[in-house]
Amino acid sequence: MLGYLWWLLDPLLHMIVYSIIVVFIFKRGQADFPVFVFCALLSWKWFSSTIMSSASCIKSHMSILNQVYLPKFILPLQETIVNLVRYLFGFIILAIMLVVFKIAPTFHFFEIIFVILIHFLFIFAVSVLLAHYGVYLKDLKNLLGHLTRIWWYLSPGIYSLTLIPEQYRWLFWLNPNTALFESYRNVIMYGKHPIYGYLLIWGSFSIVLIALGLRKLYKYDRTYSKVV
Amino acid sequence: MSDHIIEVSNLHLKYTFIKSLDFRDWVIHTFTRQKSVRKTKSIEALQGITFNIERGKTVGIIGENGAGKSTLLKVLAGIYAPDEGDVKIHTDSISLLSLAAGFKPELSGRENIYINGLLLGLSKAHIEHHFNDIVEFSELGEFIDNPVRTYSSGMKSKLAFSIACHVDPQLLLIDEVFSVGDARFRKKSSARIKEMINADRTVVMVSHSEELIKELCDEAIWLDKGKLIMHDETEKVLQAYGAFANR
Repeated sequence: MLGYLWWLLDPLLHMIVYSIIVVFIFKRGQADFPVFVFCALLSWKWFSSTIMSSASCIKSHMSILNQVYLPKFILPLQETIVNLVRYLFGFIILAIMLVVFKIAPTFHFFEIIFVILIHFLFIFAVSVLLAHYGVYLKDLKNLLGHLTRIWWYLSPGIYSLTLIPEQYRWLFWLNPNTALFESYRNVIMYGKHPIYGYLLIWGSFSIVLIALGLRKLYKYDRTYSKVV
Repeated sequence: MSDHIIEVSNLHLKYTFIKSLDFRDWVIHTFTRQKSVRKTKSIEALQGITFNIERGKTVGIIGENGAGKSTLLKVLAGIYAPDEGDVKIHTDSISLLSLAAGFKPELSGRENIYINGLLLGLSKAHIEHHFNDIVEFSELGEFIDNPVRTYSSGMKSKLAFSIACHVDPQLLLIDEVFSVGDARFRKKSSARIKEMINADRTVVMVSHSEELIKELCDEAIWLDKGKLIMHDETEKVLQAYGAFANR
């Protein structure tokens, strides 16, 4: 059993697959393409695995919820934090890749804390809402698997925003992933600031979503376990 | 503070069965303009229950399967919110003992003792202090370091019982945990439960064993199909229930 090693292997293998497809098959992408993908992929894994498990978190903890009362927001919060720890583990691979591709991070790297904070708020916001709807919609998990895949390809993860024709580029900024991925790359690879403006907008948006989600969770707090 | 530790008035509670959004149904209803079937179905598990329980009493709940006994305990434990009516519990220290314990199958028995104990409201220091007692009581021996998924169902319920019987709440709710394990363990566990009941605390217990109720309880509540039929001294309720069951 490889156990915890999968936390590292999983994003690594994904990165290798994307690199092979883009660099060798499509003959696209710059020399540091693997790092470029990895910056986005690693954080996307955090998002996608968290929301997948959050969608079923109340149901999968039903046996505990039927025994003791727990405030329900703890469950999506726990998923978010567990996956954050996995995400941070992935930085081990990122560090190795930075050495291999000879990219020296600057002091801007420390601004990643702000990006991670905003990303945390956004992931928690989505998770809280999905935790609520996951109780009532059985198909949500199947649907999410496909939605997250589509969302990933609509985000500048394996391609750069500069490839998008200028007149459509504003559409991409409606996707929170754009600001997040670009910010991660800025601080890790390019020695630049994260895109503070957009991040602040998405941060406030997330806080509103969290407030809405928590209100839902508290309203139905003691009725979830009654749903059969 | 009144000497009533539990005040329940006009309690209603229903379970909702969900017919999840079904794509096939959705297509059929959209294109054939059939009248849509109701999305949810609900069952009134408790209907207008009213009773009070005094501090320090031991109360047994009896009734046939599906009468709402376990549901009532879950309402008292704060797991379910009443759909109607009022439930006032004048203490914060409540524990529900039931054997539907939420073990994490991949973790060892040792780790599960901690998780389960914390969930039942024990402090970490308390668990550490009683850890050896718990393991000894559960008779798991060296299995305690194996993952719980490798346990037999008897071992699991023994472990669950051993953790649960180390809680020390003011209000103890017991949901049919007497029939655990083999005959020897059962003897040991009923002795332990009697110890817990005899201490100066309020106990509400569900059991199908009329002897046990007769032996342990001051009062009894008889539920039938979600309605409270009788709440009186144990003798009287058991007599009436016996007459009803033998009809």
